Amino acid sequence: MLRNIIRYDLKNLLAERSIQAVAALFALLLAYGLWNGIRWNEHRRTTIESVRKEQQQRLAALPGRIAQAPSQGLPAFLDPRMPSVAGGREATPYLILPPQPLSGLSVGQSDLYPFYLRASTQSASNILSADEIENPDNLLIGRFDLSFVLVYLFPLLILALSYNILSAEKEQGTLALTLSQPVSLGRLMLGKIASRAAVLLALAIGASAAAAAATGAPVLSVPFALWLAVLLVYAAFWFALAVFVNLLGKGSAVNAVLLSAVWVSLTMVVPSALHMLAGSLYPVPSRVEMIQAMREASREATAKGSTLMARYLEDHPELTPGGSSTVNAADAASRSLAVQEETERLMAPVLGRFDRQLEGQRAILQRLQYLSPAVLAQGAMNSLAGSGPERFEHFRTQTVGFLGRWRAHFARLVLAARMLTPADVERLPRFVYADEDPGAVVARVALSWLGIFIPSAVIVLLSWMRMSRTRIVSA
Amino acid sequence: MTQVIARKEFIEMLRDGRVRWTGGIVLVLLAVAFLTGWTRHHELTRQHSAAQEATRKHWLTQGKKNPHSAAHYGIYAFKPKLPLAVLDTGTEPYTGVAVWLEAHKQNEFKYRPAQDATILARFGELTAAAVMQLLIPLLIIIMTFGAFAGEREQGTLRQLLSLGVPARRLALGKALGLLAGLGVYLVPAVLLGAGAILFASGTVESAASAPRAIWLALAYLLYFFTFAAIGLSVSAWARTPRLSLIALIGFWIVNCLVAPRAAVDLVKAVRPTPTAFDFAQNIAADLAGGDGHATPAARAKQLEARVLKQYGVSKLEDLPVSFAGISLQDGEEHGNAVFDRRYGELWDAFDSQNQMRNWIAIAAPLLAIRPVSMGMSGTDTAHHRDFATAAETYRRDLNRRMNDELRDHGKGKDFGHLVGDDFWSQVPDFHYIAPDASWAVRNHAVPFLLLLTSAVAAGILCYRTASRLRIE
Repeated sequence: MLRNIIRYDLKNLLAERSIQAVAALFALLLAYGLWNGIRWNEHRRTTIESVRKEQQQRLAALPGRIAQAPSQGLPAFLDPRMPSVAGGREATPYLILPPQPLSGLSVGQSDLYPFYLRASTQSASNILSADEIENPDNLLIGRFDLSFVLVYLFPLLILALSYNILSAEKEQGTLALTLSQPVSLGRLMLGKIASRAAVLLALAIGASAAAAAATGAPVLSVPFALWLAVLLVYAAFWFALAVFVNLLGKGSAVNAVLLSAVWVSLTMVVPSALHMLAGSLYPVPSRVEMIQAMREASREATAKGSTLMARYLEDHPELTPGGSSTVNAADAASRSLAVQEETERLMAPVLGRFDRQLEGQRAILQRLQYLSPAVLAQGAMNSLAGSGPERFEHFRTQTVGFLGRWRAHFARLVLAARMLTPADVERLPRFVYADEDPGAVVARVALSWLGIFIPSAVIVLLSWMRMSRTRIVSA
Repeated sequence: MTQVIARKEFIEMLRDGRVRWTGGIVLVLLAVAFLTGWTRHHELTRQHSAAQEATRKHWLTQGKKNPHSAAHYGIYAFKPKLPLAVLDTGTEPYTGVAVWLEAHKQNEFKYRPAQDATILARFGELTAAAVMQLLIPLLIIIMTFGAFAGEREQGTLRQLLSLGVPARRLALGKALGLLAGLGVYLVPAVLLGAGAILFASGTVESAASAPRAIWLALAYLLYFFTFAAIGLSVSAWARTPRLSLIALIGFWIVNCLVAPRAAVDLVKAVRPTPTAFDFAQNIAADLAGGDGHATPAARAKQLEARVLKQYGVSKLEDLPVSFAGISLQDGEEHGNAVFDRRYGELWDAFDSQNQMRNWIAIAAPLLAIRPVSMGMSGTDTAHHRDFATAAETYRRDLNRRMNDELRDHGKGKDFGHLVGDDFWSQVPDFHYIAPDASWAVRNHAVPFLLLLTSAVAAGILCYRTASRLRIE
């Protein structure tokens, strides 16, 4: 029987002009999102390629330049043999956050954070503040990627096809007729939902698979399977909601108003209200204050000047040059190392305050995100595409670690008053990004999935309980 | 008779639960948005003025230094906020808050506030502007979709017209009733908003932004009028209220959701901007002489010859001034030309992206109201560019003063020439005054005209559909 309902309803749906239009529109939106995702992925790939190329050329030429330097009589700040010059500019590698297989499916936060940084002996906070160039208007509005289509527009199309599954039949008077056949109301609705879901999900899944394939991601992979799982449960939530509202027994127009109101609340009002709440409870101080603190700190450190040197060496016994060579405390390069270290020490509590407040906001989001399936779905899709804040945080931590190693490497040379030799170029620290633990991503996505699944199940249950009380003829 | 129709429409609207609910929620959201906007504005303004004072103090008390070291130390410029930013934070979360003005190079603004937020930021900020741009149109739709279609379905439209009520009169009455109904929600909102702005910035500043506020209000009225007229036309055209509602919500979705994002990717594809990497590489190449100018070494030779000739001496040692100062300033000027061109290109690219997006506003009025709203609030890219230009002009003046000092008084000592706090205080403080309302309006003439055009077009459409009212 169920199969008959689905078959009949599907035939009916596919023959109807308005449904054809909705399906065609959805296909068009998906295709546009897909195309944008592919372009975004391509943009990232080519940028990383040209960054790598520049680095390769520079580092390949460096040993030769170092070898020639003694005969050129360059001033110290241009001499590539100087550790400060090499570590600050000439030998610096790029720290690259490579795109993930599914990165073309959700741009997420990845247009907001840099995906490559140039290392140097400068302070880490300075290096991390580098930005990608983008028109602020574009950032404000956001991108038309596949996840946008799926999180915002997909529910609307679901609601457009199912806001009146029961009310329309009731208004036409066909519901009583249908139910006089040996079929239950539950089964009828299930069949109608299944046929609609088949049309929309076929398109959504097809577009996701096409996007994954076009950006070179394996379709048979855990992340992609999770992507589909999120997509399915998110669709289930909206279908369940449509069923429930239909069972309230109101007219089609009322259903449409109610469902639109829920959609506006869950995709727009709740997220921005949560954003406001998180921001008010844990206000992140403006960076204006940080800049001020940084200036103060570097002034203070500079004023202490050479007295810092002794403490610096106390803190870094491994850097104390052995043998006969002594550190020249007046030496500009070594003093600036100490000043920089002191500045960072003074800045640590200020920067910590930013991190703590942001941590507080994230903690609130962790708890309150369950209020909106749209937030959950977007978060899960970002996680799977590697465009969520977690992956950038991961990258940032590794960057800070690497920059510490990089600076220590050159500090050792500075304090030993050593110049770089051509062979030293080979021995420079290298950065390789180690991706997040896939288990952590799966766990995060699983939580989001459950967060959508549980309310969906509750709505289905409520609908089930309501079903027996639903009037099948218009009052 | 028009009055009777209007009154009936108005009373019905006040009694309609859907309108009450939506209107109530919209009002509450507006109030919350005002309140948080006000608190944030207050706090940020305080921080900005404190920071601006501190950076000046740092400059004034930097102690004995070479002028060029001072130029390297530089100052920070912090972008101030206009009072109307309470309503619309615009692009502020996505433009950096401060720029470092130092020797040799024009820096980018750093620290975009959105980077210090969770993913929720990308769902949009709950500002008064967002409520007015996205939710009030929804309220208008709920108020209008049944205006004619509802009566048509109930059969009262046939009765009304059979009584000899002219269709245009009916339409006018309904429009007036709608206006009154909308007023119930909007008038308190406007009063609330005006109060918030007044509180946030004090009377003097608020008075200065009065022309901006008037233009802003005008733009929003046009925007609401467009939605109301479209709502009435669709209701007059649609056979059933259901169809009317679906069509209007469809338009709302295209306007508020699909068109803006679709436009972003479209304009990016048509007019791409360079990556930060390419941008930096191009500037570096230009500075090194890649732009067809002489390479630094050759330029230094030319400069030397020119200066020697100018002072009529044959050796640098014989110059009555410090060559270091002259050479540094020459480097600055070479850099400035490069920065002017490269940053100019970049800003122009942003600008043409925004202009292109404006034209799509023909189909989606949101794309016209958004830039106008940001422009009047002083939070659009044009205001950002204006501030960036002012800061850069200050940077160049600062550097020139430092280099001139070195040139005129650093003879023989060059980088050993030290000056003290009394010299630092001769450099004027950085003081930025935002451009006035007419500048902002001129910047957004196109979206303004498009708002007006769409309002007029929607008005005509409404008039025509209402005067050819179908009974069935």
